Amino acid sequence: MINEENKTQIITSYLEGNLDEKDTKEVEKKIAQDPEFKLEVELQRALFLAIREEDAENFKKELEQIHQEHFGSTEQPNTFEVGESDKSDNTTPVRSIPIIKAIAAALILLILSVAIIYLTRSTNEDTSGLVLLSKKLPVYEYGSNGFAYIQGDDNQTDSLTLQIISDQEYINQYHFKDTLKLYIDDINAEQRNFMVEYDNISNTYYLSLDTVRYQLERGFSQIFDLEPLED
Amino acid sequence: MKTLNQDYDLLKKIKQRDNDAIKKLYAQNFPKVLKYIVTNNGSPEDAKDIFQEGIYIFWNKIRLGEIKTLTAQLNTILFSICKKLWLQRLGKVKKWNSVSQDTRSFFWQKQNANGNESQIKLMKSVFKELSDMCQSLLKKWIAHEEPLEEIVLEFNFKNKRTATVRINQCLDRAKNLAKRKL
Repeated sequence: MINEENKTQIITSYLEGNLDEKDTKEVEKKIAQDPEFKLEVELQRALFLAIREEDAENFKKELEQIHQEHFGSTEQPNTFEVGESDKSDNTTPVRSIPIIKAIAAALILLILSVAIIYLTRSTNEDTSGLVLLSKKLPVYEYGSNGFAYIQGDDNQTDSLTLQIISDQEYINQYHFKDTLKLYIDDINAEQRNFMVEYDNISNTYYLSLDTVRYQLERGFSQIFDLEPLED
Repeated sequence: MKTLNQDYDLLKKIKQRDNDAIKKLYAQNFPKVLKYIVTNNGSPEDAKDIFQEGIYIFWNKIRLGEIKTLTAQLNTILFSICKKLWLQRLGKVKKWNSVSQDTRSFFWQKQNANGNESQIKLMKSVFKELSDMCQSLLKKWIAHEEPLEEIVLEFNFKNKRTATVRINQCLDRAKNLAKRKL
């Protein structure tokens, strides 16, 4: 029975989907019959949404502030302004670039360009780490070996070099151009079973690491996460 | 390499939205996400948007207890979220629902997505008129979905019953203020 004492609690439970079918029906019946109660429900729902929205907006502002502090603006600075001396001439407005703003803009662009060049250069150059294992691995035709690790030559289509690398920056990730570099922090890497398969129809590589399988992207400069395939 | 304890400590601080912890997380991880997005047809501005959305989802996952045992490093999890968001924006993966279906947030997204805009605006202004204690209490309970057990400790309430009574009093106060403005 909904009364003045318990209505706020019941509305909360209703809005959060915590009432059973019978109580939900009672609340919905009261909403339909009692405009005062309907308003209570609407205001409480609006309050919950308002608090959530406000909190998300505040968090976004905090993140924006952190971004400005650490990485500066990524927006193009406004370099054009109407000069004071041009305001009198209504027929031919001329735009001028204040020197300080121009220098600042040039510096920002220079720093941004250097940062992008640095960040996008080949991962071959900027990854170090400790190579735990390096060995030649056969590449089998996809599906020919199943999960059984049958080491036959019949279905071998190619071979590649596998490296297991321990690196503080990259954990459970891989880089795959010519060499397949697995960034896994495993000192017992030598004891693990590795198998690489290639599906020439979809141009896709698969890695089996013990009993876990991964789909690999080959030929990209960036490092990808090692994400197990779902069964 | 960071120890697991350091990650657990960071996890706890991120959950509380400790400014220094969020700053550290941001400074450590943004360059990697920027690099990934710029090399995958994105701009630095795209990287910023995706990364900030990623941090919000990451915080939500920690808050809702979806990330509590560290099977992977926090940095790896955050990068993976940002990568998914970027692939989703490029249309390479189907729309990803980042909120687990058994959470209060999911129920809210499903049932209460279309609130009355003018009422929400009214309640935003009403919320600011509440006492600091009510604002903090409702924010922790509604927006951060902190369990009552944590609220009892944080606000020094006698027990969960007292916490519920105080929450309801704050809700009533907000609704009464709103009715006067209608």
